[in-house]
Amino acid sequence: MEFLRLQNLTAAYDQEIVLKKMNLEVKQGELLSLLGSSGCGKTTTLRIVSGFLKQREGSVFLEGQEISKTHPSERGFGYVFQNYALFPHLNVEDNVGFGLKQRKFGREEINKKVVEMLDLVDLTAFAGKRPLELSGGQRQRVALARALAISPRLLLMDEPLSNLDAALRVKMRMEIRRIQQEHNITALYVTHDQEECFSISDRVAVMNEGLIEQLGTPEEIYSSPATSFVARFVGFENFIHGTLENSGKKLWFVAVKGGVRFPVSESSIPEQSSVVVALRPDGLELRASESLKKGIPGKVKVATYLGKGYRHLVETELGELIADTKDEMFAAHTNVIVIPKSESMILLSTNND
Amino acid sequence: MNNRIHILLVLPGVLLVAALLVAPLFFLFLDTIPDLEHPFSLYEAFLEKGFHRKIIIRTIRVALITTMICVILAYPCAYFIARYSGRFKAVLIVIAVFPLLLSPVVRSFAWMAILGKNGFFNDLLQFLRIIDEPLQMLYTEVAVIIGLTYLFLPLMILPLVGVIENIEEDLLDSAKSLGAKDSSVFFQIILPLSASGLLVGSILVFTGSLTAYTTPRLLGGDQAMTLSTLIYQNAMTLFEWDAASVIAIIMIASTILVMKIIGSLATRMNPDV
Amino acid sequence: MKRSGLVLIISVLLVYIFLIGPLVIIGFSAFNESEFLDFPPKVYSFRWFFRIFESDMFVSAFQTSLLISLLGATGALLVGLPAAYSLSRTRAKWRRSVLSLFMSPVIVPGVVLGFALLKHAVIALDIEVWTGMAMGHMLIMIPYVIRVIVSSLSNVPIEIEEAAVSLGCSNTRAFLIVVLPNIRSGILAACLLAFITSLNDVPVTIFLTGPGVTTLPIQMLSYVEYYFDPTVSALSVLLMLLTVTIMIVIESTMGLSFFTKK
Repeated sequence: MEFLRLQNLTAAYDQEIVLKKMNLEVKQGELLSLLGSSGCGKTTTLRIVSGFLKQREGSVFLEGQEISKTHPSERGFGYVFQNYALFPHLNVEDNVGFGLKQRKFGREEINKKVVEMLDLVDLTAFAGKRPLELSGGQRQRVALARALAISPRLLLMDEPLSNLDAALRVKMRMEIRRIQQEHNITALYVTHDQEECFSISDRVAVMNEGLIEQLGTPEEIYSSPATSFVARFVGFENFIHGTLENSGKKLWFVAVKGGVRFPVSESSIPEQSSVVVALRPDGLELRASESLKKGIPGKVKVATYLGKGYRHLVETELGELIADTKDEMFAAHTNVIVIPKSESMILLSTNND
Repeated sequence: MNNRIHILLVLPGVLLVAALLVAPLFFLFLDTIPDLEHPFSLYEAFLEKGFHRKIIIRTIRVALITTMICVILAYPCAYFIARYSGRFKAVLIVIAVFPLLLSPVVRSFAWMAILGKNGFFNDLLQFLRIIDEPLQMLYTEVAVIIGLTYLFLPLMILPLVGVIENIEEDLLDSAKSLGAKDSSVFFQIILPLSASGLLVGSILVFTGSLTAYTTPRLLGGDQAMTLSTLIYQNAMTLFEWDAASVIAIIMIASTILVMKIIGSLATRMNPDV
Repeated sequence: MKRSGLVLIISVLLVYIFLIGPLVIIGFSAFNESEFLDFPPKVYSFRWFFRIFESDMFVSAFQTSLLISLLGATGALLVGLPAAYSLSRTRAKWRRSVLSLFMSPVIVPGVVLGFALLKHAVIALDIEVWTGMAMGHMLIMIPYVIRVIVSSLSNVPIEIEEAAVSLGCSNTRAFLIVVLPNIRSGILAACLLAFITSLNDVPVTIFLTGPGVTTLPIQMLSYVEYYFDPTVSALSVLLMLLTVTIMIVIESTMGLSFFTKK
């Protein structure tokens, strides 16, 4: 049985619908991320699960029990806020032990647990300090320790790392994943950072405008995005509209503009229907126009250096394409041939746009 | 926390203010309208008397002059405090704030002591042999203006300090580097940018002066009455409650009017006020 | 620049002399032996301070003032604290109007407030003098209480309450143990500010006093109109000391920069 189940959740702020009949199942012990840009409904989902927001329709089941009527103080979920929300008038120890104090644990038990938690997040030396005296990264760890101290059934994290600098974010996400896995804690993690999300999640739900566009493992989503939105999120920058045709023994893609066609590998989309071919910048090869290779003719508009290679903005009949090269750079105004690599192509049907 | 609880929390306060302020004022307003055929009869009766008209004009005049004097005195002060970054900045602000927290009785009494026949000024002038006999300075309009200026000057200084502090030093430097003299810098950069603070201060000083009671009573007495002292006289001495009600409504209407006018001026000049 | 700098400093100096001078003068006259407010005093004495306590007049007026201010402050706090909390947390559309309503006692002229209260509350509902005065003072204190506490609460974001709730507190308990401790100094400053406002009020109080019930400023007012002597100077000195003390307390809790913010 799934651990957490969200069924047909609909939510709104005033007249604006922010969640549209959302369905999701979270397995015990997994870290599932809600990935999307702001306004997509991911934080709203978290707040409904925690009980801080009431859904307009739909149910939340924890181990089979509907919990929507349960007061947030009785759900036993650990919540890590984006701004940490540490109690300013209490020191680190008292912050971490706060939840246990509410549950009327004895003083000795609380102390023991607090020491254990502080050790877990490596803040033992800071037990007596106030939040004001701590750095951002330290505060984040206190927030995590505080949420974990109550041995929560579910850990809810709302963009916990977005206020930290880049290097700290990478380090902290490893820590969070390690602790989550070691203690087999079920966690729902909200973020807008694709790299962070993919590196620590068991599964990812990519959200857009109140709906889940795709649910799957990071590998699945990265290599086979289901919609243009998801594709854009995982780095696909080129989208070419056209149709599929069977000709000879092969399947061909025929672009709408310019009649350009190239072969594609097998696809589950029926022929004659309109499709979109998606490619990452490194899925396009560039050759000088004098070369005899077959491809899409174009002219380089801008070329920039990325460190790991060069990025070209190429004007073609199909519109602007973005193509990366490793060593060779084609200067602006150069005529080139753009060759899509069939192994890097993703086919998306247009009703997913 | 849902809306119902929030409403419940503000309800006692809302009811209290409604019962003690909104309702009484509303009924007061109704008092000034005796019947629907001659709705303004009481106002007309009140304004017929030249004495009353004189007082209205004096009140407005006093308020205007006080406001202008406060603007002139407050600007250099506020500019200095805002730009000053030394150790004494806090002290300067404290000294400016301190009179605000004192009773208006104390503050007006101080000027009684200064302007009276046996007061500081007269003693000084006689000592310096500028005059032979003591001058009558108290119970004049000038005394009221001085007293009100004294009362409200901090209220003009403080908002100005806040607003001038927000003017970045870079703006002034770039103006000077482009060739502006000090006076140009003041009139073309500082003045427009501090306009919102100027207007806030002006509202406070003008409406305050319009409606002040203690100062006109102590320094103006019966010879230089304002609307506030007039309302008290009508209400508690003459028991002319109709007249008192009329004055009350005139006072509140003019206060709201002034605030709306100056307020919309402020938002027009600086939309993020 | 140097010359205009000098002009600036001189004008600022003159303004400050204007602000403090009169207080210094009556300060001196409070210690003056003679009855006339001459300056500088020829002989110094404390006689005017003793005079304050000789007759019952000022002492009982001060007691009345204190009591009325305390009653009013308690009422204003009881009503104002929950209201301020609600106003700082809600996003409802009525927020602005309710806030303006609570600020209105500051906008309405004191004499108008006092008269309206007298006519349509005290007399119309046959309310006792004490109650009427307490109500009037509660009314004029509410804006200060609300403004200061709302400002204080803006430093305690709602996430902190939610964190407490997620860890097991009921909503009320969360307020009591994580919000209240963090706005303590704000509440204190609010009370002190409200207290000073009430203690110094003349225009509202003057319509609400009755036989035997008068506040210190009103008593001083009538005294000054009949007996023009340095007793009032001595009282002023005492009041100035009280005000300075209160300012020190406010500074050490909230900081006086509060006054320059809009």
